[in-house]
Amino acid sequence: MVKCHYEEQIERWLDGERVDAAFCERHVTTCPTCAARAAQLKLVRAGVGAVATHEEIRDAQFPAFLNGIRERLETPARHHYGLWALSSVSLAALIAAFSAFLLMTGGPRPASAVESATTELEDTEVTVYESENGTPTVWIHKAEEDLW
Amino acid sequence: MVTFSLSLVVVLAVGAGKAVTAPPPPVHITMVAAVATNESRPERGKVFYGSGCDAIRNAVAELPYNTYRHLVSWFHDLPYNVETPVKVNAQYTAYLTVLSKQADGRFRIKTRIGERVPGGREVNAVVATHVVVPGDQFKFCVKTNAGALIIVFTAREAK
Ligand SMILES: [Zn+2]
Repeated sequence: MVKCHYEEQIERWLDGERVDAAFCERHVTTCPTCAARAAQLKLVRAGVGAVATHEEIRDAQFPAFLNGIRERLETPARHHYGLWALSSVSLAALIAAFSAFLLMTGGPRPASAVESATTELEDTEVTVYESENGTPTVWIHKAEEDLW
Repeated sequence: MVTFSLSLVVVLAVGAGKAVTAPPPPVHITMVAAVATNESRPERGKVFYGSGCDAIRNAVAELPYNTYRHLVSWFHDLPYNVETPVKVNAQYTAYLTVLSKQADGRFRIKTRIGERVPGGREVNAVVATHVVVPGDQFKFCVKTNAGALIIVFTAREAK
């Protein structure tokens, strides 16, 4: 799609930043590039998420990211901190047991953690880990996501 | 009728029993939801956080996205063992229940995220239980075609 000089300003306008709103409103009625961008951003915000037609917005990084998490899990951990735990739906119970094990083996202070996580959506997986800065994280993604 | 009267008596008795012990102080929960995507920007390697996303920068640090657009922020003091719904967007609603406070000070929190599926029915995209150190963040990431819906919660004792 043809680039437009005002595209960034239109994005900022849709992000609620202080820009010339009157100009942006007029511009999207006359510029097909910005009109498409605005429509797409509105869709993304509404949670529809689809419309992966715009080249910029296709999510090619995710499979590699997910594989990275899995590799970290497969690497034997030497410390309780910075440990990445991984689980699929069927492994939720194992994770709970593992968390209990970590609790019993003790640490300087109790950390935040995911005890269990399951999904009721079909063809969907749940991936659980604690990020390196200690944020418990639950990913909900399609089971075939890493096959891209 | 007898059954009804009996259950009424039971309900009243349970209610009376609860009134004896003072309820624990509520738990202050905050939620920030954002949409994460990858967009080609002039400044490569720089992450763009839309206004309203500052509070989640640390929580999303490891994610493979360069753009975060704020959807909704919410906070509330939640009593224990009451499920509270929080609308995230047209498709997702989060339901939070503070289950207990452990001896080590961490909160046990159940989070259910309902997804509206075709036909209007709501299905649990995830049901999770966390143990959370007061002040810590925990997050959910729902993969979408174009990126991810990110929901970050924090929990602390209500003031
Ligand atoms: Zn334009």
